[in-house]
Amino acid sequence: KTSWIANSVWPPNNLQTIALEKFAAKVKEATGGELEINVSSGGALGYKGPELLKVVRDGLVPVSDMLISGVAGDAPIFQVVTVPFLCRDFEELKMLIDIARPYFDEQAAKWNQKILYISPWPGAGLWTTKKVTSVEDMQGLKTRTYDKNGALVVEATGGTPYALPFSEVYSSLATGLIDSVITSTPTAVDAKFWEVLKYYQPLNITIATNMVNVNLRAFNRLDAATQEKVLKAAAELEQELWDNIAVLDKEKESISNKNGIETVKVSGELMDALTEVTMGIRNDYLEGAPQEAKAIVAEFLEKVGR
Amino acid sequence: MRRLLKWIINAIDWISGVGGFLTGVMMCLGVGLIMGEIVFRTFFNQTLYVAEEYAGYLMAMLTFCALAYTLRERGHIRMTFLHKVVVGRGRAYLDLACLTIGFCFCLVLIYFTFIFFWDSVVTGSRSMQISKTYLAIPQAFLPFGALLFALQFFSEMLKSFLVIKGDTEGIRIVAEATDQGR
Amino acid sequence: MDLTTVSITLFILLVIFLGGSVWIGISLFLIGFGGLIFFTEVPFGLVLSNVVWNNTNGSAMLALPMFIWMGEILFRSRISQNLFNGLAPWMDAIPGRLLHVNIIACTFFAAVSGSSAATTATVGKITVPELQGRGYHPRLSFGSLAGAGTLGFLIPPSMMMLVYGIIGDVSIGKLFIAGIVPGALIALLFSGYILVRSLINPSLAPAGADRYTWKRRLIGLKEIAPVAVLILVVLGSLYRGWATPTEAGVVGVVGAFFFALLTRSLNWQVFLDSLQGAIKTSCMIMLIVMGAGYLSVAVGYLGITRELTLLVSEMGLSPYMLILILTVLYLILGCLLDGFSMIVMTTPIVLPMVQVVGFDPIWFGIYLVLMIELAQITPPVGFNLFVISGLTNEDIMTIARAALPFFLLLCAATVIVTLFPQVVLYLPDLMR
Ligand code: NA
Ligand code: NA
Repeated sequence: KTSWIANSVWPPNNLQTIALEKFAAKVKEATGGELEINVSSGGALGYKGPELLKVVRDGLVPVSDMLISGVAGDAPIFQVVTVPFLCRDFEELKMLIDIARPYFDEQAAKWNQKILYISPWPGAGLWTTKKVTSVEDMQGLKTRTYDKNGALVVEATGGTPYALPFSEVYSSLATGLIDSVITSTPTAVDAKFWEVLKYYQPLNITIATNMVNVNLRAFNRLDAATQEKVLKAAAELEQELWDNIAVLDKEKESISNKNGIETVKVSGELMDALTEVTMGIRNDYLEGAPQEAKAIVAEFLEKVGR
Repeated sequence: MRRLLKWIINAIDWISGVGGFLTGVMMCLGVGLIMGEIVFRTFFNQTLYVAEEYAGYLMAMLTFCALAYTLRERGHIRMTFLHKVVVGRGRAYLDLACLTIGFCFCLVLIYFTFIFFWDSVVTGSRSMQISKTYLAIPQAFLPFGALLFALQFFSEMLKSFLVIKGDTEGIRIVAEATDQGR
Repeated sequence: MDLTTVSITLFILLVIFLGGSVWIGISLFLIGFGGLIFFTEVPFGLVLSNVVWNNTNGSAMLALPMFIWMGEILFRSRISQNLFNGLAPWMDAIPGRLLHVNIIACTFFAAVSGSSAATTATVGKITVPELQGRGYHPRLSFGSLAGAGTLGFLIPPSMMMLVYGIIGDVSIGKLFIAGIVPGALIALLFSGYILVRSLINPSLAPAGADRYTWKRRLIGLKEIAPVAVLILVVLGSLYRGWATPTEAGVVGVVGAFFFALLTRSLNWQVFLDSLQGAIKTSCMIMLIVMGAGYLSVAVGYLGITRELTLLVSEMGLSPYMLILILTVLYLILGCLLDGFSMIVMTTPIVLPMVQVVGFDPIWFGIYLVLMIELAQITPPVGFNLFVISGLTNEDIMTIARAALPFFLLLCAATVIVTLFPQVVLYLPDLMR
C-alpha cells in the first residue's frame, strides 16, 4: 500500500484543487485503495509555484499541480501555452496542447517526472470599472496583472501594469490604486469582484493551463498494473475537465452577471486590433524561444489559418 | 595561542560587521527603489516594473546578510529561564552547548542553501517577471549569509571558551539584550 | 505514525530546545527537522532551502524592516519628547491628569510604530520620570503605561498584523484598518478606568505646580503636529490607495526622517543607530519567521493540520466554545512565548479551524493581536514588563501586578470584540 502527497498551491475550493481531489478519489477507487493520494492544498507545504518542477524532480512531493507557464523560468518551452492572444477559445487551446504534448512529455522526462494530466483554466479576461470596447478604451487603465505576459499586454495597450500580491487586490480596487484586473471568471467569483468592478470583457488574453506531474522514481516504484490504472484515471479525468471547462466558465460568468457585472461583448474588430497591437510581444517571445516552441507555434498557426 | 584565538574572533566580528553594513546599504536601496516606484507612478503614471520583484530579492538578501551581525549584537532572542537559573561557569558551558547547536545548524543551512543556489546556476532558472532575472544572483546571498552566520557562531564559541578560561581582554563581549524594539 | 506520537515528539523537542535556551528561530527549525526525519522520508534539507527562500523573498515582507525603521527614527529623535510636551497641557484639566498622557501618547505613538515594546519604551522613557517627579501613584502610572503600550500592535501599523497577514495570506491593508476601532475602544476603556480611580481618590494624580494657559495648549498642538501628520500620511496613503503596505512603510521612513530634520534632531549618529536597531530587530524576526515557516511546512507534511481541522469540525464545537478554549490556550502560551512565536506557530494550525466554524480571517487576526497584547503584560515572559522594569528598576512581578487591572480590561475588550465582531469588521467592510 502506497501513500502519496499531492501538492496544490491553490486553495481547497479552487477548480484545480477540486480536480486534483477528484483524481485522488478516482485513483483510490481504481486501485482498490492500494494507492492513496492525499491532497495538500493552499500552499500548506510552503511552495509558491515557480519552483515546482524542481520540487517534483527532487521528490519533495511525489505529485504536484503546477501552472504550466509558471514553471517556464526553469524550462522556457512551457511559456508557449500563454503567449498572449494566440488561442481565442478552448478548441484552439486544445489544438495547441495536443501539438505541444509530445514536446512537454519529453521536457518533463528531462526533469525526472511524468505529466499525468493537463487541465485548462478559464481564459483570462479584463475586469474593469469602465466599459472597454476598443483599444483606445484600454489606454490609461491601471491593471493588476499576475505574470509577465499580462504586464506586456497592458503596456502594449497603453495602460499601467501593477504586480500586486493577490491578497492586496481587493482593497487596492476599493481604494482606486488600480481600476482593472486581468483574471479568469472563477477568481472573479471567489474574490466577489462585483463589489468593486462593473464590466467583464472576455478577451481570452491568455488561457492558462495546469499540469499535474508525478516524480518518475515514485511512479516507477508502482507495479505495472497500478501504473496503468493511474494513467487511465488521469486520461479519463483530463477528458472530463476539457469537456466541462466551457460550461464551468459560463457558469461562473453568469454568477458574476447575476451580481451586477455586465459582460461586454467582444467584437471581432477589437480582437483583431488587440492581436495586431500585441504582435510585438509574440514576435519577441518567438525570437528568444527554444526551437521546439517555434515549431509548436508554427504548426498551430498553420492549423487555425492565422 | 590565545592571541591567535583573539585575532580570529576579532576578524570574524569584523566580517559580520561588513555583513551588517551591506544590510544597511540594502535597506537604503529598498527605500530608494520603493520611493522611485511611488514617484514614478504618482507623477508620471508609469511604473518601474521591477520594484515589486526586486523588493522581494532585497528582503531575502538583507535578511541573510544581517544574520551574523545580529548574532554578534545579541539581537536573536531565546528563552532565558534556564539561562537565568544557571550561573557562573555553568552558564558559560550552557552557552557553549547552544552555540555548538547553532553552529551545526548553520553547517546544514550552508550545505543545502548552496545546493539550492547551485541548482539555479546549473538550470539557469529565471524569474517569471518582465526582468527575467537569473534567480541564482539573489539566491547566492543565502549560502553567503549562512556562511557568515556559521563563522559568527564559531567566533562566539571561541569567546565562550575564553570566558570559561577567564581571559576576555581585548575582545568584545556583548551582554544578552532584553530591550529589543518589540 | 499517529497524531499523538507525532505531537508528543514535537512537544518534547520544543521543550528541550526552547527550554535549553537555544535561539527561538533555530529551535523551530530543529523541531521541524525532528518531525521530518523521524516520521517521513521527505528530504528535510531540500525543503529547508525552499522554505528559507520562499519565506524571505517577497515584497510584502519588506514592510517589516521599514515600519521598524520608522519607529526607530522617532524613538531616537526629539519627536517623541515633543509629543509629551504637547499633550501635557491638554490632559492637565481631566481627573487623572497626566496619567492620560500615557494612554494618549501610546495611542498616538502606536499609530506610527509597529511595535508594542517600542511604543512602551518611547513613551515610558519620557512619562515615567515626569510622573514620578510629580508624585503620581506609581502603580497606576506603571500599569497604565504597560497596558496602553500594548496598543502598539493593535493600532496600525503593526508588526504582528504584518506577520499574520503574510502567514495567513490575509490582506494586510484590511487588517490595519480593522485594528483602529478596537484600538480606540481599548484606549477609552483605559482612560475611563483612570478617570474613575482618580475621581474616587484624587491624590493618585496630584495637581502640579505649573498652570497651563490656552496659549501653552496651542503651542502644544504644534509639538504634536509631526506625529499627527505622519499618522495621516501613512494611514492616509494606505486607505486612499496611494500605496501598498510596503510602500506605506517606506513613506513612513521618509516622513520620519523629514520631521527629524525639521526638529533638528537628525544627525549621523541618530541615522546609524536607527538603522542598526531596525536591522537587528527585523533580522531577529525574520529568523523566527523562517523557522516557524519550516516548522509549519513540517506540520503540513505530517498532516497534523489536516487531522486537527478534521477533529475540530467533527467535535462540532460552537464558535464561542472554540474561542473560549483558544483564549485559555493563548493565555497560557502567552506567559511563555513572545508574540511572533505565538502567531507563527499557531496560525497555520488554528486559522483553518476557526474558519471551519465561520470566523472571518480578518477578525481572527485582530483577536490574535489582542491575545498577544495580553501576553505582553503577563509574567514571566512579557516584553512590556521587561521594558518598564528596565526604565524603573522595579521587579517584573511588581509591574505585572500593577498591570493587572489593565490586563482585565483587555480581557473585557476581547469579550466585546467576540460578541460584537462588527467592532472589528465595520471599517474593513467599508473598503469594499
Ligand atoms: Na502600531
Ligand atoms: Na507573557
